[in-house]
Amino acid sequence: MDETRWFRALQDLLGAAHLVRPDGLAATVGAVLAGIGVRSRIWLVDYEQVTLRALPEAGRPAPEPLPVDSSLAGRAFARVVSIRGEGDRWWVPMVDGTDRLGVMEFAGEDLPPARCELVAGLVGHLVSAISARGDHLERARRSQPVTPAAELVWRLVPPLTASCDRAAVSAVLQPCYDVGGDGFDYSLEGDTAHLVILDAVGKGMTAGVACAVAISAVRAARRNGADLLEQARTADRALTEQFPEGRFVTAVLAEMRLDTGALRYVNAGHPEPLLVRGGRLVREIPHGRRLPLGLADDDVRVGQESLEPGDRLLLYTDGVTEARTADGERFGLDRLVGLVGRHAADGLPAPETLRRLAHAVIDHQGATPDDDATLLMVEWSAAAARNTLPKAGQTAPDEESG
Amino acid sequence: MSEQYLSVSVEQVAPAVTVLTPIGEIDRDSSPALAEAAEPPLDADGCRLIVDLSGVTFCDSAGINLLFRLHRRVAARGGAVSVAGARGIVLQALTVINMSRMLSMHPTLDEAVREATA
Repeated sequence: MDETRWFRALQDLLGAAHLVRPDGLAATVGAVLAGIGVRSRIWLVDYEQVTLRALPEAGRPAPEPLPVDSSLAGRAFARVVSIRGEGDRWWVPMVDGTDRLGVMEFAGEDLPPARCELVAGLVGHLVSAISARGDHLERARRSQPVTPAAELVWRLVPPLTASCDRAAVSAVLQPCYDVGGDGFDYSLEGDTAHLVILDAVGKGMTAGVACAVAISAVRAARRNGADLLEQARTADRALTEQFPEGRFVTAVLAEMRLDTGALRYVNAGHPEPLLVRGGRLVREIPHGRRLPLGLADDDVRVGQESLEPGDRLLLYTDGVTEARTADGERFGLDRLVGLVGRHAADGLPAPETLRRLAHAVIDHQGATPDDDATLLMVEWSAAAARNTLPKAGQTAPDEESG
Repeated sequence: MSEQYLSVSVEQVAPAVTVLTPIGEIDRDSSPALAEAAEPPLDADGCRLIVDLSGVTFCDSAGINLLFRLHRRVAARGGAVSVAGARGIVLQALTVINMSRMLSMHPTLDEAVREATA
């Protein structure tokens, strides 16, 4: 009988999803669950992934945001694991695929966590699917106003995290409310992960537009079946056409085979990708050089590299390593690799590793960053992919090593 | 550009060979001054423009973009831009960007002049 109630709740949610406005989602979910005797609340993570914010609901006072770093809700979010709270309460991670959107809070007597996880799973998909219908869900994720350039960039990039059975891909982009210039893209298809990281010269809207032109050109070429060199040439042409006075975008375009670990890449004037194995830097990957996108360059040879199972490939923009303290001390490569190693040893899921790296860069600067900082990481193992999945809450919350 | 952290001098060292010497830091705010100083020699056909970076302590992407733009303009009229004397973080920035695939880079001004006048 219990089963039937939960099934009906799922059915009601799916039925309501056709017509629900983003600003009505919280109330709709709340009402459906109240109908089976469960109290609930949807919490969305903000863009900077520092706090979880209750999705505002008309007529219901909004609680204070919860810090990701020091709350049960935050732990459920960070580790993607269901956690039992006080007073018959469950904090359940809410993802779309493996992209972390926030958590759902459930309260009621003798709640079966597995059923709560089912609902949170559906609501995660719904949040993602209906967000574009209105501004409400977007607004709820923002702790500050967003610049027009940042608005453009966020519409341009794919979700921060995507996994398939063989690998986890995750990214971070800072400063969230003022980006313009940096961007990333990926595509998981068959045995291949396509990866792109970009850094357009300059700041603000002009840089954002240059980044948009480059990403769009690379994507269009890739989807039309072009190889890496032709993708880069397509971006050259698009940028030259759009900016006749000359404007360039540095980038790495890469294709990684998820069956063999073979990596092919082109480096258009960008910092060298990092190959990290067992928490240590194996090497900076040095080949495949060409001029930045926007400057035609013939005679480019595609670089090649072999990854081993469990390796991490890290692409970054110079805003990460060049971040400086007030005294001028650079964040640097050693610190970056050291943190990747430490978080790997702690068994953190890929998106959590990157969230912490991004905050380490900001903490290092101690002030508003003066350059965009972007990281894109692939963890090449089935275990890494599993580690990004929501984990059931029947056991005590502990360190999952994947 | 209220602060004077970039000065630029221009000298013609041979027929059609011009040396541009910025001293200080090249960034978004100061690069227009460099662009302006580079303007007159660009009008000549086959101009060889040498940018002596030995006195430059910082060069961001705006400066690098300017070098690319100068080269594009000069190359369209049969000339070339080369870079001399880059060091430290300036050399590092030019290296990451693979600058040498477009402009010839020389450790010293003498070598750059020798190549331009050869």
